[in-house]
Amino acid sequence: MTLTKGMLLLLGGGGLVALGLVSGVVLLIVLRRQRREIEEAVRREYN
Amino acid sequence: MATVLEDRVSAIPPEVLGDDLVDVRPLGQQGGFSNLFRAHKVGLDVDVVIKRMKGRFQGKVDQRGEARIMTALRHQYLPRIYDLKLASDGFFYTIMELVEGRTLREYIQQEGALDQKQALKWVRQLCEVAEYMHTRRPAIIHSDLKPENVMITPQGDICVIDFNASLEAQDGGREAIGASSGFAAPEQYNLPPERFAPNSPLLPMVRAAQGFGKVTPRTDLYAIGALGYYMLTGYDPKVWVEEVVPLEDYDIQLGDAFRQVLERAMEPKASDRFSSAGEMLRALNNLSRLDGRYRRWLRRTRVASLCVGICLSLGVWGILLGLRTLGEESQNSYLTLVEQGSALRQQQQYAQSAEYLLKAVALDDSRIEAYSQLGALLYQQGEYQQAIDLMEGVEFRRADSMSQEEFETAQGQLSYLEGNCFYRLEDYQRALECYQLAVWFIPGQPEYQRELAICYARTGNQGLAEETLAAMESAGASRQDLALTRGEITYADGQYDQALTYLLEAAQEADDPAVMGRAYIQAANCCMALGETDQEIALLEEACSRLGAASNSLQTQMLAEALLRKVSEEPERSQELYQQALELLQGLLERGFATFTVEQNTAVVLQVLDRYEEAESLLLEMEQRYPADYRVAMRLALLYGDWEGSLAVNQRDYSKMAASWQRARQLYEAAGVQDSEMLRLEEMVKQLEQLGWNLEEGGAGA
Repeated sequence: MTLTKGMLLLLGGGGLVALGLVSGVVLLIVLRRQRREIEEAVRREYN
Repeated sequence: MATVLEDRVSAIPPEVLGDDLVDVRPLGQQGGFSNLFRAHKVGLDVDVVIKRMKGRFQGKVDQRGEARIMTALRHQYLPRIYDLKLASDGFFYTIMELVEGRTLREYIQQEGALDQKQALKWVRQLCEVAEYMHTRRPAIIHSDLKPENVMITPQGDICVIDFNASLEAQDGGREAIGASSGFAAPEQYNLPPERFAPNSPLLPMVRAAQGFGKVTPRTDLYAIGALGYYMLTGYDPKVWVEEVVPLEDYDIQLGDAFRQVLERAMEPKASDRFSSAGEMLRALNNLSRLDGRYRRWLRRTRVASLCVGICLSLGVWGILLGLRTLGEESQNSYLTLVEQGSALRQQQQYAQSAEYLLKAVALDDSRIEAYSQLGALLYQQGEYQQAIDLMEGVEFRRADSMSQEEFETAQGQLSYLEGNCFYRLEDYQRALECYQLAVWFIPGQPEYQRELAICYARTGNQGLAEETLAAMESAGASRQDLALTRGEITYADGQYDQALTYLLEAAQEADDPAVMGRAYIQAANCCMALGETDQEIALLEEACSRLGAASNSLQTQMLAEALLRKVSEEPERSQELYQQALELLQGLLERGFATFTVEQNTAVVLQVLDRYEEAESLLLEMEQRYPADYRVAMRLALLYGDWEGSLAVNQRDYSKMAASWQRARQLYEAAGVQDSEMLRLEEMVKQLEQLGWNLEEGGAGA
């Protein structure tokens, strides 16, 4: 089966969407953990 | 001093004290506007404060207003009001909860500046009570929050006291009643300068405050900020015109976020402060949001979100573009296959053409182009029924690349092609319907009208045929079309001589191979009807020659049939005529024009030329392709009968003939038709049985 331009675009687009979703989830987890750490540090500082 | 106050105690009218308030004595701490007395309220068994306006402020301060404000408030950080009495001496007496503890001023003076944890707690409590007051209807502005008016209770909480300067908020703000240096917002000094003596120390500030607006709930926020400043530094903030020493200049432990909140609360312009005490309280409760680390985190989050968003958007865009491109590629492949199939059809490479066109149909089975070409291919091969089966029942869809007009034209062409197939199958009624549809799609096409007129004639509608012919004439149809139509109409009417004249005219005039071919075919039919076989053969030979190999298949087939018929007229030339017919038929088969009739005729000719093995081989191939057609089995039985008959009696074996005959008989009965050849076969079987060959029992020998 020959890879056509349409298939390449479809595959590339699918890859980017998958990458975006995976990295989005990872970033969400990491950034939420960082925010909790910052909030905890600020809470310790003032209370 | 004590004596004066004790005198004032004795001056409290008895109706104020009644029996309920006892043990009245001056309170150690006195208010700015009022005299304060401590008493014991017997009924509730609590110590209370009796508050009375100082004589010199009577009439200047709205005692009733303060009392009304106080009675409307009930909050854990405000003192409770028990009673309010207008006495006979003209004074308002307020009996309120005695708040134990120290003022914030005393606390700081004794304990020193606070750490930020404690300051944060009390600033939050101040915001809570301010929010409570500011959300009353109408909103209540304390307007004199300062260390002296904030009590620190033994429980470690604040209690806001002294509402002498309190105001009910109004749209557009109000003028301040008073201002405490360092804790008053600039707008509290915004008073008419003419009210002040030229040497008043307040006058410079009053002049500087012009344009700062009036007192609003945000005025209290400035004071709360200033109180926080005081709690943390132990110093009163300077009046804004004297440039407040920034908090970061003090050597104190103070978080960046808390400092920002206090600085914003102390903005000189009210509009730069928090919009409400509630907003300031939320900022204090979410100090992490103002923290530098949080802001950096927020920046990182935004950048990451942007990257993910770009990634997802690009991905979605890629998918959509990919789907669109795939669609276009599929359309292009489809059109390329159709083009290749069409070119191969023109080159008479029917098998390859069909392969390409069927691939195109597999790509998109609702587009019309491939069907048109396949239909034309099958038509060209003489597979009329297959062509009809292919086209019937397909719901065609217009491709995006095709305009509505192009689509309708293609539908018209397909209907015309289908009509031609029905015409060839001599189903003139169905052909008529197809031609009507074709004319409806493409009204101005002369050949469609020609076929319509011919079909009208063939179905007995001579009137409509003539009408259509007249319409063609008035529309300026070509001479070839008119001659062909006239020929067909007169042929349908049985006037073969007249028809022949018209058709020969059409054949001579024609520049369109289709018209020419039709004219020759119909002219040949006229000759056949007139019994002029020689003329028929001559015409068909002329047709084959003029049309060329690309489009003379039907004429060639007819020529072969005419030659076979000629045998009965000139038996002495039979071998020559059979040989000619065989060459023509084999030529058709080689060109891919392998119709049932052509193959059957070829087998018959091979048989009469005693080329039994070739005839058998061809018929056995046909039997594979047409297993339900009795004619193949019948031809095989006749062949075997003939073949065995050519052998010596002792070498004959009619078993194959018997098997084919029995199969043919079964299929013939199922077909429910009448066929003279079948009767001839039955006759042959009878004769053989009379000679002692029992074909009913497998052709056993005599």
